[in-house]
Amino acid sequence: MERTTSDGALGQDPVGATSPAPAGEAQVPVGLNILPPADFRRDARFVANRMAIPRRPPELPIVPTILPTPTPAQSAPAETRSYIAGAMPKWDRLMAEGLRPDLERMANLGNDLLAWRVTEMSNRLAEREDLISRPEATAGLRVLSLQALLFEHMKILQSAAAEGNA
Amino acid sequence: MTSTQQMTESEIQDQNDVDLLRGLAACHLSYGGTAAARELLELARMIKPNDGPTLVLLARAQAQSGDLVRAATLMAEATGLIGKLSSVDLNFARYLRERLERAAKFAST
Repeated sequence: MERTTSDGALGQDPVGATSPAPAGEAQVPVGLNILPPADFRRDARFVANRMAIPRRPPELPIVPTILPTPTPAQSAPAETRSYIAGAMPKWDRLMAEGLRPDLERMANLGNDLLAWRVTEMSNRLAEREDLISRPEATAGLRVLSLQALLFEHMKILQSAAAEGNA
Repeated sequence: MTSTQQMTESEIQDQNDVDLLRGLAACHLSYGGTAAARELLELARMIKPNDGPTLVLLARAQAQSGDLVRAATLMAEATGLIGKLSSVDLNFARYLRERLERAAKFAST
């Protein structure tokens, strides 16, 4: 049984309300037994589908590993300010602290391009004999490898979000 | 391709790597990830040991970690490489000097 309010909104009867019964029959309590309208169920499925993440995040490695060979982005995104610039807190203060040149260089790389460049660099440096022969370089290579994975992961999430919005 | 050209290309590649590593380290520093920033900058330093801006950023990371002496040493080294510091870096060097002078004064009393 579906009911609508006077303004046409979701038609839930108040708890404990009674439905008008034909003459001669006892009034039956309604409310919690009434299913929500079809529109509501459809909207709930729509939201649930949009919230689903299609892929699990990759496992983080403990030691530097060679990542899958990346493919360069076909074209850099139209906006040159990437999420780094958008998500950076207290941007003005950071600019004043002298991080501006390095951060702007990062921000001017598109998301896809940045992920590709960091992954490519991580792979290349992990194969350099002069670096991997030095134990003190291992920590830096591991951080770089994790950074590459993080960017790849963010790219996947952004693609999923873009598909969800399409 | 001559060996000179190869060396130049290799140097350009190294500079690009160092620039990107420095950018990543700056991001980590801005979020307070001092340890990760230090690791990335040390890696950049191994690729190109005499890069002034890398040393300045490493000095900032060391200062954030509380190692002011090493930060000051790195700043001195960076000044020798860069020649003339920017106003922001100069302010940072002054800040380091004041902190160290205060520490020395405290230790002598």
